[in-house]
Amino acid sequence: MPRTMWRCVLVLGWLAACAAARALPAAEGGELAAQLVRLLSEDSGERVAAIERLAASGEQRLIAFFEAYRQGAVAVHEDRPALVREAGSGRVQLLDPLSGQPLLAEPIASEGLRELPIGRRERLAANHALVRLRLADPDPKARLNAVSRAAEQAEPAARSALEALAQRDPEPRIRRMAAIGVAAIDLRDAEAAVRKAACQRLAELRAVGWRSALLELGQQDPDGAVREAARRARAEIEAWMQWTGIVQTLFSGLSAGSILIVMALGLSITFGLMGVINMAHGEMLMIGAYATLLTQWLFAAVFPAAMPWYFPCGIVAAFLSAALLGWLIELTLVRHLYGRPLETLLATWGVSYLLIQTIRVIFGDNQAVTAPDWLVGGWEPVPELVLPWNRLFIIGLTVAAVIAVWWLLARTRLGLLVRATTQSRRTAAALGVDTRRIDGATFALGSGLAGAAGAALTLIGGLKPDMGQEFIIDSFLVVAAGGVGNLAGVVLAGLGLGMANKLLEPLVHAVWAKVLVLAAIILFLQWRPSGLFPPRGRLADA
Amino acid sequence: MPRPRDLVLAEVLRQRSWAAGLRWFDYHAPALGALLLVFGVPGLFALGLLDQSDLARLGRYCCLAMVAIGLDLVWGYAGVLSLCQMMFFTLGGYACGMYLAMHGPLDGDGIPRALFVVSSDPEGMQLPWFWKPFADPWFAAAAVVLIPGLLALVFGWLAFRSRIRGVYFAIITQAATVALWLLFCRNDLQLCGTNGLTNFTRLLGFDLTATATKVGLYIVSAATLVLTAWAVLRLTATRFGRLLLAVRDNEARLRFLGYDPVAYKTAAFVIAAVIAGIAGALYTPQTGIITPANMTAIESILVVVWVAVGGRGTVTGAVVGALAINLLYAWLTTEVPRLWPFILGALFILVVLFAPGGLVGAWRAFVRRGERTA
Repeated sequence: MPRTMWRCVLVLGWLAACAAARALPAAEGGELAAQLVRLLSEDSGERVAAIERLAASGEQRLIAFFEAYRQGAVAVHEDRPALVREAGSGRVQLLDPLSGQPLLAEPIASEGLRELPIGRRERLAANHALVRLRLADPDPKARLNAVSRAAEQAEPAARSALEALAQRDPEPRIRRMAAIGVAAIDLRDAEAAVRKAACQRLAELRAVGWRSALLELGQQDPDGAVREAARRARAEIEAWMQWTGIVQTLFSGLSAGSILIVMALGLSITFGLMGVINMAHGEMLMIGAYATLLTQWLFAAVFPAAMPWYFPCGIVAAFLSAALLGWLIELTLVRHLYGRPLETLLATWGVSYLLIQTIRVIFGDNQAVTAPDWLVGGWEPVPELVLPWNRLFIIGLTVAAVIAVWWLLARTRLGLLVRATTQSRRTAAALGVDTRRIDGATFALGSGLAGAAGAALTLIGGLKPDMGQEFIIDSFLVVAAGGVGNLAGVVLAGLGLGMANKLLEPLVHAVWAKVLVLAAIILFLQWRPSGLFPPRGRLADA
Repeated sequence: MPRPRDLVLAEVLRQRSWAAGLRWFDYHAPALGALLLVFGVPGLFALGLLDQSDLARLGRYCCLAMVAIGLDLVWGYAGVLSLCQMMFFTLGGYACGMYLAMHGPLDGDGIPRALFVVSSDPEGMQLPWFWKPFADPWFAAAAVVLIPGLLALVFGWLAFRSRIRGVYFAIITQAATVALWLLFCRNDLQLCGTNGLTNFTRLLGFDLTATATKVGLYIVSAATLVLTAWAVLRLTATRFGRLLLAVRDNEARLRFLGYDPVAYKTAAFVIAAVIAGIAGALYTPQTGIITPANMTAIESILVVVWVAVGGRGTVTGAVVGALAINLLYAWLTTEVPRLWPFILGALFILVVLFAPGGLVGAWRAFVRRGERTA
């Protein structure tokens, strides 16, 4: 609690400082103007002092002035500096250095204009002033960019400004980057002790981008202690990178497995209930993805204001459209092939083929959904480890889907009827369960889940008419390994398959990873033919 | 009423009965079809009624029909749906293609051109060790049979032993063909990647571009098809064939009766794979190229369509279905190319829903109705 308060105070303080900086020209506009006039002085020391004073003001409007100043595009007008802008045919327009407004009604001839006295020292000072002004940008994004650039350039003149940011900036990422910048400047310090401390500081800050600088220092520094420190710092950073790399891989495996889990969950429900494989299940995912695309188009055309919220609506639309289609397929096709699983496989394959072709004719070959702004970027829990929001969102969606399905099957009346029909269709029918209706509802639910998976998939990949084909085999393998109609088994097998693929990929090529995973599953089925959690009792023989 | 065996054509003509004619035709149709394929088509070519591309196309379709026969044995008789028949076909094709490539133009240090041009490091490249024996036709011929056969043996035995069946087996086989397809697309397998094997010139000393060789290849393909169909039909009439039917109809009961279904299913799977491998080996010199595209998942599913449309569990149905759909495909893709996928998808659904017996089933129902009315 005190920490939060302290942060609030910090932010408020910063805002106040910014506001003060903005209010400056009104209150102390005279001061800025006076410093600008000092640039006309004949004394070089005077001019440099003026530049430093201007830079210290943090006034953002001076950035344009200094850009022009160091290029020599500033002239003397009425004993004050004025920006010069080309107006064509040898004429120029003179602008006020602060407001950017034209000083004269008409452009004047460029001949006869007196340039400001400027030398090498002033140019250098102006460069530093630009760095310092940019570091004072009130926009955090621009400030972060400026800080990274300053850290890369490692100009000793920016050190004090960076140090101030490292201690006082409200944004932690900017504070870290500024601290890295300070350490990077110190790496070139004349004092060996300072260089050594900078190496340790870079290691503490996990400054991944400074590994090559540290390598160089570790080989070439005249001081042995510094070389040792640089080497140790580099090793420390690399160990850190290895660690974050592993976490990143596990995380991608987790999110890849998540989509597979939602797909397999749907397949497991339909397969468990009716003993038929819906080969069009992959196309339900595709339909879900295209429903999301259509939702995005609809929002862009009709309610552009609600654009950030199209994605949740897209998920709902994906679920509903896939569920409706699944229900129709069950009604017109699967129902008539009951008890002939291989024929159902073939007929649904025909449906999948038709759906792919239809979508190809309508939408063409490649489409993409733009992820909503709030899912761009990532969460950086520790330095240099970015977990993308979209993948986090997918994992969250999967958790929600698993819980919802579990709740539906275990806690609702519909779930009870579904489980009863799965266990013994004839007994359930004899007890008055309308198994036909249950079949339809289950098929719709399973297809809807695939549709939701498709909506989630749009966040990490493009849309292709045959995008579902990649998933149907993998998700069936998940069902086969996890056990039919078994939630826990599907979740475990889905995670396992996703992880196995991602973990093997860096070691062997992705293709070999696929082959190895397939071989592993066949061998696994040798050991446990009915999956991870085999059914017991009479169900085992069904 | 005479049994069909006694029904000679003179008798039928004397009777002038529509039903008798139908029965005669029904009984002799396979033989007539075989005669047409093996002698009739080359005859039409000799008369100039078919051109060389038609002949080559029919030769290829005969090879594909052989794959369909293999699938009919495992699916139609043993009830095991395999979605990887074209994988075995392509393996056989590659074994033959490697022999042909070794006897085609060689680049560098005796390296077949197809392999040389996709090599990332042609300088000082050595011929991979597994290519060398394929220069020998006997070794290549053995590989055509043994590679698909052994793969089917190991895969089938492992799968059937752990009682993977029905849709599980179908999907596992599809996964296998996808995995192998991805593998063959890789260049570092040194099997020419996605480009596949090509640049074939001579087969056992015969020039592949000569018309005589082409006709000869056609006749060999058609004769092998007829032979395969006959052999599989005979096989299904034996005790082994009846056991396959028992596996299909009630595997659990068969097991309780003391039989081991694993052996029968594996045997049928291996036979089908070998047939597919031989078909691939005959196919390759006729197309002049074999690529991993021949074993994408959809290719194997198409084989299932042929058998389903022709009528499964009949052998003749597999041949009829394969030839009919491929001819339809050839015709439609030149006439209305965009419509073909829709027709194929619809055909799939309609046959499964409304004509489970396929074309042959429908024909038999027609003949039976003719007999009843007679």
